[in-house]
Amino acid sequence: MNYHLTLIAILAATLTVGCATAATKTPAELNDLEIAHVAYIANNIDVRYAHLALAISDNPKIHEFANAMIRDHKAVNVQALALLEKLNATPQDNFLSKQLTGQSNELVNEMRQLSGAAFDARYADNELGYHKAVNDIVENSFIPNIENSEVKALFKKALAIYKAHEQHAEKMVASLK
Amino acid sequence: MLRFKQNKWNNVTVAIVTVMALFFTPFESISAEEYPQTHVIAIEDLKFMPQEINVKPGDIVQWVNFDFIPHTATANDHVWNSDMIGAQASWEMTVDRDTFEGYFCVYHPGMQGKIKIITESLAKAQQLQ
Repeated sequence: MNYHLTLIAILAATLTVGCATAATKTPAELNDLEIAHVAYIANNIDVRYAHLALAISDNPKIHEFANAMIRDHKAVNVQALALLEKLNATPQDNFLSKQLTGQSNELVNEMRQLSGAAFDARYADNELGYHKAVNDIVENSFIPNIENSEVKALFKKALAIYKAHEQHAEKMVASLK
Repeated sequence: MLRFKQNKWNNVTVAIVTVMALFFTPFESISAEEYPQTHVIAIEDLKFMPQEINVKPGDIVQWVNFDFIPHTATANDHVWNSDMIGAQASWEMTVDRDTFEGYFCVYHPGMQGKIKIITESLAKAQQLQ
């Protein structure tokens, strides 16, 4: 199963039918604290994938990318937590955080069964798709709707980092073919 | 021979250097008479600014990282390498005639810069034009 495509499909379905269910929101309807929660979860998920890659892969390119993911996504979360503390705010769990967590658990279970080139290809492909999907949500659904100016500024900084990751992932995928 | 130095910056110094990097460096790169010169390259939003500089052998190039994630400044052929430049930290090197012109960030390969080596004779020729 292609998980980043699944993520996009779920988000598209949510956008389409979400209005029919009062309790279900679309990504664009999340408030700042819910968006912060999604971002924190999404960062942690990629750190988790990276640690799995360091444990399973022997490819230096995979290790280089995974180490960058750990450094950068942890740094973004440190900034996010510091800002939330400054604002005396607590992130709010929501449907999207739950979906991301559920999908990541399934993907980790799938990837841990792989090894060698099969793992490297799966990890690289997912990193490219994951960053594409998340960047699209951050740029088009989150940033336009974030109300707090400091939170919005942090998301713009983070998006620049995630876009660099997407470029890096593209090169990683190409180098494995 | 290259000389390297890593520094940690306080907020006041960072602010001063930001202004220097963004407004003055492009104009003083090859025209000022002082020798050697220090060229400051700001790293911000995953970009080297200015992205390209002109230097003379013996000048000092200093990278200051204003992002909250670490970066490197690494020659394309790995002849010189800053290793990790942490948030709000800096690294500098003295330009050798053999210093390779193209460089990038190992952690974020899309970040690329260029240091053009201008010899004395070339600099004089440019000033006469």
